Amino acid sequence: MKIRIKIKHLAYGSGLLLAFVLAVCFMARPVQYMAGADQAGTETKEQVLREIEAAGAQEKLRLIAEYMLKDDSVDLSRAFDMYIESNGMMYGGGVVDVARKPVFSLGEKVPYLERYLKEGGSDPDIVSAAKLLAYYYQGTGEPEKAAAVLADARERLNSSPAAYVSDELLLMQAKIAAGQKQYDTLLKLCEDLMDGTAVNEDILASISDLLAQYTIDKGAVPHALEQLQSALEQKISRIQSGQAVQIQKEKLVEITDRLKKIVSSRTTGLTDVSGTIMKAGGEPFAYTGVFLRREDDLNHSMAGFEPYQALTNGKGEYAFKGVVPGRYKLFIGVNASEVNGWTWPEQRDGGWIDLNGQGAAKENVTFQRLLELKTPVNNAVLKDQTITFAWKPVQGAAYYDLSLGLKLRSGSSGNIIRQGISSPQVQIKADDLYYMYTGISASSEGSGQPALDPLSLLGYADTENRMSWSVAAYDAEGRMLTRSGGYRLDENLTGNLPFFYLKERKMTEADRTLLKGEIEKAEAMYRADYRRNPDDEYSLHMIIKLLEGKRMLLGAGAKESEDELKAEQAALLRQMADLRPTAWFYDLLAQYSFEQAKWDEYLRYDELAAALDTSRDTSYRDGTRAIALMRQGKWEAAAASFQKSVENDPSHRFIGAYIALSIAGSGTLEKAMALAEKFPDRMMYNTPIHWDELLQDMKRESSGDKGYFQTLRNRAHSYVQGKEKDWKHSSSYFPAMDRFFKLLEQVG
Amino acid sequence: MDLNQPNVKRKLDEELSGLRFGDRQKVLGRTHPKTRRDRLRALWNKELELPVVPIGAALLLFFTAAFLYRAVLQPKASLPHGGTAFKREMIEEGGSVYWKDVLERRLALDENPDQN
Repeated sequence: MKIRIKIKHLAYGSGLLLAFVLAVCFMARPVQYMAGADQAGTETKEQVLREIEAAGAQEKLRLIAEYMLKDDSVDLSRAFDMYIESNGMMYGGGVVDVARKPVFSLGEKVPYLERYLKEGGSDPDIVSAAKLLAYYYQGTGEPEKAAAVLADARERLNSSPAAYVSDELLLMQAKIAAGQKQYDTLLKLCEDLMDGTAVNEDILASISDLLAQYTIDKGAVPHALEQLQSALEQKISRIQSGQAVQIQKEKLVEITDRLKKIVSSRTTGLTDVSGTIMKAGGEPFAYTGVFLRREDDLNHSMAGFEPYQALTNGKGEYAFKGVVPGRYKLFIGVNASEVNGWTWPEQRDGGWIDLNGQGAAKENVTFQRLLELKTPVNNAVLKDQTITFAWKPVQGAAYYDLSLGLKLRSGSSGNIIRQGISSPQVQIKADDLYYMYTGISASSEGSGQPALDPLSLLGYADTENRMSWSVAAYDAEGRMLTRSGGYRLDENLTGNLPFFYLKERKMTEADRTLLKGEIEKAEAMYRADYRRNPDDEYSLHMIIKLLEGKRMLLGAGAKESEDELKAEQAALLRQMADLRPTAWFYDLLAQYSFEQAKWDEYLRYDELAAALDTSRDTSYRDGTRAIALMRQGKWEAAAASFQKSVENDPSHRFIGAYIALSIAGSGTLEKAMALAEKFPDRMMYNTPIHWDELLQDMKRESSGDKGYFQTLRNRAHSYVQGKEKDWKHSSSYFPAMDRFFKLLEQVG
Repeated sequence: MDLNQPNVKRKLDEELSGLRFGDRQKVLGRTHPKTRRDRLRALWNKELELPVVPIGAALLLFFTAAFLYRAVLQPKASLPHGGTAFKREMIEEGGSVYWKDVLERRLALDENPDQN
């Protein structure tokens, strides 16, 4: 089939079609442009502000809500990209919502929020506006103004269907009143809150915290608190079963437990905690989130019900008024761009803030510029026998510590390679790295049995694994000045990347087999290699590592196999120590002798290990040596060694044993209590042991019981002598004492 | 009707006697174009004989392709423009915190420096 058509008609048709296509494109373009304009950063803050200025009254309010209120910025526990602390958590979570709209700082928002509050209706956004303004006025030291703003917004809401959100305003008013110690107002506001129809657990938790503050400050339990307690008890008893409500119940129980503890402990004295958050050079972290987190709250992510949350003011200053006694850590909430290129240096004491009712505490934070690494960087391939690590010197640094890191199948591992380096470079022999103990890890894929991770077994001898390194600079007093690890959150990653490959050696067949995950086969190959060549120290050390790994997988209840493995390992270790003496091998031998109670042998190996150990921190060695001395009955020497350990170890991991030794020696609790208070146990990050509270409980338990101290002393003696059955044998009459001896198992 | 019949011929001559054909040149221009203008006009009015099936198929193919491009490719390209925020992952490696996408890109580049 054919059609006849004139060229001119074809041309007219094509023209019409072209016009249509163009029209479609141009019609669509403006839509896309607008979408891009407001989200892809093409619209600047200035443009938005101009748009707001030019808009009519209603449109103005809509734009303010759109650009300044409709996000998470009001809930401080969700407003920021990251919640960070100096030690441990460098970032919270992983996935971040990056805003496309221009982000206004609180300072920039203020005039618009005020307008919104004045002219806006009674929608829930008014709550957001009022809360943000209240944070702002608290920062500027105008709590009255903050309270007034909240009251004003609440009045507006009362006549609206959105009244349910006014609890948030009421709670914030109560917090401000508590900070001002206006207790009459606080009690009134708390009662108003409790009268609310749908009070959730978070609000109950917050009210209980505020009333606890009152109790501690006034030394008297307010009626409202009694009311709250009975309301909580009722609520708990009403919760029957079912997993969903179980969490709710646990939370309520936690609140009541905390209240009971505060009411019964009769501690007094509140502390005002304040400080500034700055960058070195003087630039403040303005309107940044500051969180004084209770020890109990550290095991969960940042939550809205945590009591001490604030924003810094324009000068980076923050303040928490009337903080109840306890142990805290300071966290800050920031957005990625604010910390790019900076690091928050680690603190020696782990960043713990102990409040015991002292009137005021200052906690300043200064971020430092990242230490710059020179070589090896950017995936360099190293083939020489000696590796030179070099970095840019840091002003005022007395020494540097060098650490190396490895990627594992799941996670990563790291080692401090050299401490106390006095110049900005150091040479490390590749060979030394191969024999370094990198920690052995196991993981179970899916629901299968846990298997050893070949990457952790090979350590730095793996020529295919990417390694990383980092340096920290310290002043003469041992305070960290800065470090290479920090936030590299932009496109150029802020300098050189600390990654390299170590390809000095050639991997053996056994290594390759191990990498494939064929652990048994690889072990047989290492053994065959070692049999063929008794000087093959590499294969020998891999056999020792594999035995260590096997021992790790055994778990409890396999004592016989464990003893067998240990005996074989010890025999091989002796051969190893002859071929290549290192601190790690001698430490393993010392540990073996320790477990066998062969004290002379233990001491000899421990001294050999100490002589080869390059680390500055000997607190762990001092602690284990103290336990060995204690077991031998050399109590004085043991106490001196414990003392040395706890003084140099910020985590005070051996304090429990030291306390037990002191009880065995004196038969009383006084000295032990002083030790517990001076050296709080911070070994477990989330659930540290509170020896001081435990000793208080024991003291209470002992009153009126003449035989108490005799029993206590006997059990402490058994512990010191290592007679496990005796000291672990519980009396059941004295629960606090039983708990004390139970927890001693965790020490070391 | 037979034009050779004297009556009819006479009647037609009589009726057409008032008419004179004056566009002889124009007709000749069209049938035998000599000037450029005439040639252009001839081309403009030229009739083409087009096969319906192949052209129809080509057009159908073109529009399907265009539609698919818009429907599948365009929305993907404009995905990052949608919503008020987008997700980005952070990772900690070698002691520092990075954007995962940026670090991966950079490490790939460091390993194969030729690929720019």
